[in-house]
Amino acid sequence: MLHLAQRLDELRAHAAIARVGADSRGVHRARATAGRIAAWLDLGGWSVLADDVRWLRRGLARARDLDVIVESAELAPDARAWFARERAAEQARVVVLLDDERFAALLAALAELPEPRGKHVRRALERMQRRSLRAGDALERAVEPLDAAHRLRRRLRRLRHALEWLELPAPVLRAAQTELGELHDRAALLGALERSPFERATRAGRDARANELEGRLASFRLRWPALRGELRRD
Amino acid sequence: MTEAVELWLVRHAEARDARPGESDAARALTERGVRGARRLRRALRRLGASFDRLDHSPLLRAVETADVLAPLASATRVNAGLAREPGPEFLSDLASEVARSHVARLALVGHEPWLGQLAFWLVSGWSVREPARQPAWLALEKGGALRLRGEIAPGRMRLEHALDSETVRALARR
Repeated sequence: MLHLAQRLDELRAHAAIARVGADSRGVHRARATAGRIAAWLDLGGWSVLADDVRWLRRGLARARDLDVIVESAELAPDARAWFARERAAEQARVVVLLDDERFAALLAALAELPEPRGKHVRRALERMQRRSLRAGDALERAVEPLDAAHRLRRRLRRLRHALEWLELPAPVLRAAQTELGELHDRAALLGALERSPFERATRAGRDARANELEGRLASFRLRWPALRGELRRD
Repeated sequence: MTEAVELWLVRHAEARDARPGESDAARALTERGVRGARRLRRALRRLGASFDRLDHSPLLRAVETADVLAPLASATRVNAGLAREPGPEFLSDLASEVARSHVARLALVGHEPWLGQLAFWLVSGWSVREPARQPAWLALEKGGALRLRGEIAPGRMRLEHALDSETVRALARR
């Protein structure tokens, strides 16, 4: 099993880059590493500290979404400039978050936790797999498929991170999660455009993106029963 | 003025001594400590206690104690202020944060002598810088708890329950 200390070092390093704000990989990787740590807490059967990790991830979420939008190839120059200004304003909140004593305390607390024990690990993996399969089944029936796909993506991500800790490959899981991640980024872009001053100017492009998103989501839903079987074996 | 809050102050359960070269922060609960924390959870359940939020110190023995009590809490939060002497900044930050989050029932899991000092300060209004004034009945045993109610400000709370080990045992057995 991989060791938490290594991930904590990575989180510190990514957070330092995120704090400077010049490289979007800092925020992205700090969030991703925090997600892996959340999976580690699940594997260890810990109830505490998960809310603190969630606080950190949520605090970085808007900056991450804006980074994805600013780096999208599809934006018109004026829209890109507007979102870049939004991202620059968000940076102040990133700095406040990472300078918060709660972040330092979280790192300090995590640094002392013992490695997960076998019985917790087995139970946690079974629970994560059950939840993932349930979330996928819910997506099949969902009236609001985008929300259901978002929930499934988070379940799959948690399971994949847990398997990463155990150094177990999960190629099907990884591919499904990547596909859902791309859908989420598309949806985030659409949502941000709708909330921006560019709604009218970009309507045609937005409709095309919305249609593409719906098509990809429908395709994923159709493939879920087959994926479900593969995930059980993965 | 802030709303009245039900505040539980909980001292971590019994922990082992630090091993050679190990920091104080890494001291884990002993098996007896884990049993003590579970007993406290049962006792708190008997009293109908539940928390909108449970704050705990980042030191392992407090983290482990908080983890046992976490089923009683809607949310948990690591709080570095619980691993040092409580000062005016800690109290004002806590009061404003509790008011902002609409927390009505709060638990703090931490260490002595700081929790006892905090309790004394909240109940009497006297400075925590004068520990000689602190009466013995406000010092918490390991795995013990105090329940206070009132406004989170010096001299604005009253003590409702003091759970020493005997009381915890009696409640947990019931």
